Amino acid sequence: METSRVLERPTGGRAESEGADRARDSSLDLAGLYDRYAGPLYRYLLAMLSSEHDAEDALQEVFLALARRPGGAIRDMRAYLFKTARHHAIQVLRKRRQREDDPVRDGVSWVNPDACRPEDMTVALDIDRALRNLPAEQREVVVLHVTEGLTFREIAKLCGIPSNTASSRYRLALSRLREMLKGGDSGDG
Amino acid sequence: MTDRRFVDITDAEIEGLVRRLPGREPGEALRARVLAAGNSKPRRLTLLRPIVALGALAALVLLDVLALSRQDREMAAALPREGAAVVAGGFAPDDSLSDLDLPHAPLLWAGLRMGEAHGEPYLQLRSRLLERGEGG
Repeated sequence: METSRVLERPTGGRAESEGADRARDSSLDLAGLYDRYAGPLYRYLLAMLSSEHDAEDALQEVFLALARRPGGAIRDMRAYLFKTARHHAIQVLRKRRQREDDPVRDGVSWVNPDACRPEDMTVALDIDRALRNLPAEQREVVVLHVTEGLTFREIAKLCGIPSNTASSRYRLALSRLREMLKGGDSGDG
Repeated sequence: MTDRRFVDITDAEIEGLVRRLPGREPGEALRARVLAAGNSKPRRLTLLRPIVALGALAALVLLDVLALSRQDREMAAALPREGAAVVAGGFAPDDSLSDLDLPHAPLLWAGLRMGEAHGEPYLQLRSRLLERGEGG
């Protein structure tokens, strides 16, 4: 397939293995934690909310909640932050539903087309469009698993669903992505 | 219409493409904003809120007590001297008042005491009220 060579990621956005970093996370170094987790959280929030403004506000709320959290060690900082982010994202989505807003606000994706090589741009946009046309719960699993490296077990814990449901959502998402890409019907474009 | 670029695409290839999509990064302005907010001193709301709530509760209880004692004083003042004396030394209302089902038991109690003060026995007053149908 000719597209397999494309889309080299310019920066390492994926959170690395957590084990070695838990001790460091236990003392609150907000700037350090921000530098480490803000990227993955921001992309996750963008994927969920499709709005730069809402994602930025939610990200701020996540770190504010962390800074103002009463004492007590956090065993898994990444899980804690993603859970807080998800909580804020769901709150935003609920408010939108109450106001009967368009669920896709300004349509900003977590994908940064400006960082693509010109020759990869078309493929990137096709995949991005297909991802955005997935149901939110499937898109969430794809983003968390593929781009942020969470296991299905971690995703299941985060979303409050069984592991099997997380993996079946993922398989369904890949199947739908394949159909959309094959059919040239990757959404609104 | 089939897109020829993706005809034979596999799950692994889709995963690879998604993985290599360049993601957005939060900007420096956002970093500065978040860290400034996170490092700012938290408002002392954690302590302030329960203190305000307790204060408000105490004020409400105090107002209630004041209002009740004022009502009591007014009611006592409204009774004739001899009725007030009976009330002061009287017995507590008994259960038999409840079957009268009257809306203002304290007023009834005062009325009963006044009736007694004016020489009308309790049972007589009660039966008179029942006859009038005020007992429901």
